[in-house]
Amino acid sequence: MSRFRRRYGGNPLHLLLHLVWVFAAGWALLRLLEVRPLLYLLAWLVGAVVLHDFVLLPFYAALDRVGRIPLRGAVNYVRVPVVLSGLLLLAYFPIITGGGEQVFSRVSGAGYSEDYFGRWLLASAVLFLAAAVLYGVRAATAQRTGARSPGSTS
Amino acid sequence: MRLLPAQPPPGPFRPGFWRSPLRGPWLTSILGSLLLILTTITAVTGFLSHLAYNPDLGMNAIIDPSRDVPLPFALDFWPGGPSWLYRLNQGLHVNVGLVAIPFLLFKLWSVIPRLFAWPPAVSPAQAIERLSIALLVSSAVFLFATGIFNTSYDYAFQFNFVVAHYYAAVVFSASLVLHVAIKAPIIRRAYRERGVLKPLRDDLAHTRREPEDPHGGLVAPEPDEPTITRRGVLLFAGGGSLALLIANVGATIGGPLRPLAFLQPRREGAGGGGPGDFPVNKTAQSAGITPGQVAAGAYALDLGTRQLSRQELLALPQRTAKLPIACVEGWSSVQEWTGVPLAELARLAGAPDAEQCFVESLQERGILREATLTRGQFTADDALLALKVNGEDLTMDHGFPARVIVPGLPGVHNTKWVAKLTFRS
Repeated sequence: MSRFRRRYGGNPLHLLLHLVWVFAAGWALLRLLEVRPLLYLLAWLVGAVVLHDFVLLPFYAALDRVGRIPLRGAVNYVRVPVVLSGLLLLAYFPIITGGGEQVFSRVSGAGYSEDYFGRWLLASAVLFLAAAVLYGVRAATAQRTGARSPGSTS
Repeated sequence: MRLLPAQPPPGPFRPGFWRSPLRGPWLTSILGSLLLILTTITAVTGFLSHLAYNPDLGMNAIIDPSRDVPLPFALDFWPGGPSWLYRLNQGLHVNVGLVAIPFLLFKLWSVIPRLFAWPPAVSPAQAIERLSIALLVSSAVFLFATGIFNTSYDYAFQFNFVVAHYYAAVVFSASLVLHVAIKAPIIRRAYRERGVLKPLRDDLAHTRREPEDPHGGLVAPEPDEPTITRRGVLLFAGGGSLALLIANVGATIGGPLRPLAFLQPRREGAGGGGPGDFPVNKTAQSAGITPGQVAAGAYALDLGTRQLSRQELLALPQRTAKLPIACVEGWSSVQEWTGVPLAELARLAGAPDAEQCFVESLQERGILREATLTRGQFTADDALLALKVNGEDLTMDHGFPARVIVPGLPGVHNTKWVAKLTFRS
């Protein structure tokens, strides 16, 4: 037993559970390979990890580090609306950019009735406005009571 | 034997590169626990939706049944009601899926130093575990991406959506169950040592890094000053979820909340504001239905044993019911339908004890132009062959001359432009 642990680096249950996974996930991946070639599937699976781990995350982490220094205590008043606006863009990307409009209009009988890129811009403006109002109120309160600048709370 | 230098290369491979004082086993555990609840709801409702199509009956399957997860017994249990059943299921699937996105991103942020662990694996156990985590992350990103693309009709991914989303969900579910099983001891220890909710009480002055974790890699050795509390991190992710939810959920609930869904294209308005002015998922034109096919002289409903013109159908006892059309994409719309109960048509066809109802549309090509309903579904009181909606004849786009509407069924199984009903044992 201890020899197995030394060689494998985990207990037998660890190995067994991973073997269940290898075969179950392998089954589903083979089903996908029946409808798309291997390279296409790999492009998606590897692409998903690369896009998140090596593009999106380093990008926003670097942006945060750059913005944090000059903003100091006020960083969350900028950080939160930027991230919320970014999340809206991410989750509604095909609607905001109009990528889905052609098929939408074919199946539903009419194109977009609104300019969704414009709506995203306005939604972002509202988010920044809310942050500005909150910051302004807290700054004014802090000044009156002689406390520290806002941003010292969560 | 050593393939890689013992000393990590510079940059993210060095522990000192990571500076957030918040990262640690507790933060990852709480984000992971919340994400687990959300993804479990999304996965369960997703697989239930698959079963709601009764894929083992007739031509219902979109995924080749011989390639589906083999089950030792039939699973056509999806009932014909209550009417909100599929609406609730799909509303949860799509909206909880959206809510999960910020928590997934925050969770991945919390463990990013582990991606650059050095050496990449110290044992076969760690190597296979990392492989499973890679597949967990990529299948999760794939599921959310394809889900988003499908609900907005952007088919840039060039897969059959249902097939790709389904098998990726199997990969994701298997990887997730494994991940939770493997990490359960770490989560338990983090909660035991720090309390499940206690770190949420810390204000910014008391937001310190977590104690060294035995598995290493998450707690920064040289942390920066905190800029946000742990409570703030959860509220931040929750705020992101709320924003995504507000932009969509009105389309699920409908009614006065519909305009709130500010990033979900409106389907109303195409019908000019009349009784047929509610969302259309497939227009008569896109289905290839011509006015000639549905004209009074040309159309007759084929019951196998007999044929009924629309006039004859209208002369039968009618029933009116308020029922939703609930789309797999998460939107729904409740309308008042009037028509002949399907159970009555089964009697007229001479098959009152039929076990199944096979519905065929006038539509000649394309998917979902036929559906097989179970006895439980077509004998539901409000299961109708609808002729009218909101007191007026159906419009062409809503299935004139006649369409199926069954409580609690996926929207697309309420076949439009019904040509033939076959009641069979």
